[in-house]
Amino acid sequence: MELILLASLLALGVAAALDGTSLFQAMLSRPFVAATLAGALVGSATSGMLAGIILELFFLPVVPVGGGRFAEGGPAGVVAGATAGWVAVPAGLVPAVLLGLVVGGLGGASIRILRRVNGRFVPDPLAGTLSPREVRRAHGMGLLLDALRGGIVTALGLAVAYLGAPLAAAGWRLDAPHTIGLLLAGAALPLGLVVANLRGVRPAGFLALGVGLGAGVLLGLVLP
Amino acid sequence: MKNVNSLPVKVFLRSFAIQGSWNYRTMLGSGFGFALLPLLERLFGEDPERLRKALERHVDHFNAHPYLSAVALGAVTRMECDGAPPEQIRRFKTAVRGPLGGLGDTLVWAAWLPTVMLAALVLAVLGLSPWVALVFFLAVYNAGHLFLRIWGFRVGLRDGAAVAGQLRGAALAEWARRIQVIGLLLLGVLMGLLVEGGLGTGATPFPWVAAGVLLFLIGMLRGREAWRAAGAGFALLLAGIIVAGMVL
Repeated sequence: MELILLASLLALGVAAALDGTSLFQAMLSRPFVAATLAGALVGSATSGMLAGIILELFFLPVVPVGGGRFAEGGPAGVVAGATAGWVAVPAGLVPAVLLGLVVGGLGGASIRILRRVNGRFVPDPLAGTLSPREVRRAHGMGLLLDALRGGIVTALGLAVAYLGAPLAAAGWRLDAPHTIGLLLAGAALPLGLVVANLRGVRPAGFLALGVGLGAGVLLGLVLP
Repeated sequence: MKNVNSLPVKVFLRSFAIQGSWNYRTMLGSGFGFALLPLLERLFGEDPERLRKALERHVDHFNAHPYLSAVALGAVTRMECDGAPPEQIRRFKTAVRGPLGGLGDTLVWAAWLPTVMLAALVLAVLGLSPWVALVFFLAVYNAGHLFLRIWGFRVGLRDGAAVAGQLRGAALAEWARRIQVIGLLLLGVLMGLLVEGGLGTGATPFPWVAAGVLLFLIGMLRGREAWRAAGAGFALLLAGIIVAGMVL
């Protein structure tokens, strides 16, 4: 892999990791966004987008709520998009999604570790010795550590993807419709979870879901 | 309010990094104090003891949705500039942190984000260029995101401790419900498109549609407890199929 490409992917992974919780939260960290951009860097935005769509379906119910446990979508999307760009779709989508899920879990675990580490050096309001310098240093340290964390998670995922994804795709035996079908079937469970999270808007919500489903099927039949 | 020139702008801009030192002990506390630093140094810089006490009350435990933390920052900016008693400021922060968290989660994480993302995914599945779907999502989502932050900060800065009334009047929860209904409509459209057209590979084969319906119902009925297990299980399934393909 070219050094410039590697640096670009790592930079994207770091930016997506920071955007996830620490900085801006402008949703560069969503798998759909990160994967499309990573795919573009590798040479195929469309492949990256396909991986991003599937991974986003898995991550749709995942949001960074307070102190809860959540998988991290930014580095996951970068790894998935790069993988799909490196290995021809549709077979390449399988290791892309697989790695995306694994990296997402790894990223989420690393965020929990980071938050415990942050707790060790943020200012103690009861210490009686607070200074602006201490506040700035603690906050800056938190941002720096999050960037480092995101870079490490992304690097690990990219390493496995670059070395293992072509082998994994070579071992994939299902054809394109069945590959996509399997991936979409897996993504159906998190979509059900999205509906479960929105139970407060029954029955209008269910009516909307049904109308939308009918419209989607019709569109799928009518459009080329 | 004391003349603090452009300091409120600095506080607002720092709010974009408010979660930079999130931790399980003080949660957003350290970030809240960081965001207010320029203001506190201007107001109390010549009295180290008052500055220290101001820092203590603002790095203390606090939590809110990151976008709606702007409401609290604006209100506290106003209260500090008006010389509100420290105990009043503490009570205000304690009173708003729950509502600002719950409201933000409902409006943004459970409504705005999934709805705009679903709209972008529909555009992508319909075959539009990746860049169209991407730019659509980032532009529309962040228009709402920035509006919420700017509105929240301005309302907080204007009303100070009385901002709670403004939040009630804005009927944010009602807006969240409306957006969620649109989100469910788009989810249905997306599911229909994926069943009929896959991802450009033609109609999804029936066995996978059936499996998908079953898993969808499980997700809907079992909720969050099923996601983690399902994600891990699906990853194992894919890995197993890959290994089988390589070995056999």
